[in-house]
Amino acid sequence: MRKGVVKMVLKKVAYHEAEKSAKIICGWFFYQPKLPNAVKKLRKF
Amino acid sequence: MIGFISEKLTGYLLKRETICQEEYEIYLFGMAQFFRKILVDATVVFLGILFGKAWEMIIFLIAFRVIRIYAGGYHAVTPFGCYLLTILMLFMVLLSLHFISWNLSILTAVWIFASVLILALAPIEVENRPIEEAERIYYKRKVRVFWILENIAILLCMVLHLRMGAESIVLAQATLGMALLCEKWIHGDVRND
Repeated sequence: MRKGVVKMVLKKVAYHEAEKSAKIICGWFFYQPKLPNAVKKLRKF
Repeated sequence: MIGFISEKLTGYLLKRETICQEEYEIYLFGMAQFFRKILVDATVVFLGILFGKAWEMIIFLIAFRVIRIYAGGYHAVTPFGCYLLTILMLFMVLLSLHFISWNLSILTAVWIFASVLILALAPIEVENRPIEEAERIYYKRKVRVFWILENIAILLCMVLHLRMGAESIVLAQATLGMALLCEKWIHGDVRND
């Protein structure tokens, strides 16, 4: 049960971060990694 | 290290069939971004606590990030370079908060200087994150909205005699302005090359 919750939280957090990174210019302070093609597709413009 | 942890965790999700192979790249990237952000945020708060300026650092972090994500600007070549640069920048901010006597004239001058840079230069794309025209318009609008909101916050802090809040937000805008200026100066706008 607890493992299932951890897995779901990890999955949600990782997807949310990837989706957010696709929509912004800079992910943290002074570094922006190149977006993988799969992440680029999450951009909605 | 962060790459290793992210790979392990994403591999675990894949093995347990929580995600499928096609999604692996998305989750690996997101996981790494999440842990890097946690590391940087924790460093900001840690340095703030260490120097007795935790609230200033938290306000600085929020004010810097809300505009930075849409404004772009100078970026290091590697994540480690970014981390070192972040620490250096935080030391400079802490020293500024400690040693500069932030009277109204200095605060206003820095505020105007930072605002001019932000409004004139943002958004600036970088090599790893080229932006299209529609995005440029969208980011510019976002930068202006958050810049206005931060200015309202600065004025409120000054009216309520919360000088520390105003100083932290102005310093965040100044740091962002300098990051934009550095990127423009060193690399130019990628789009215009």
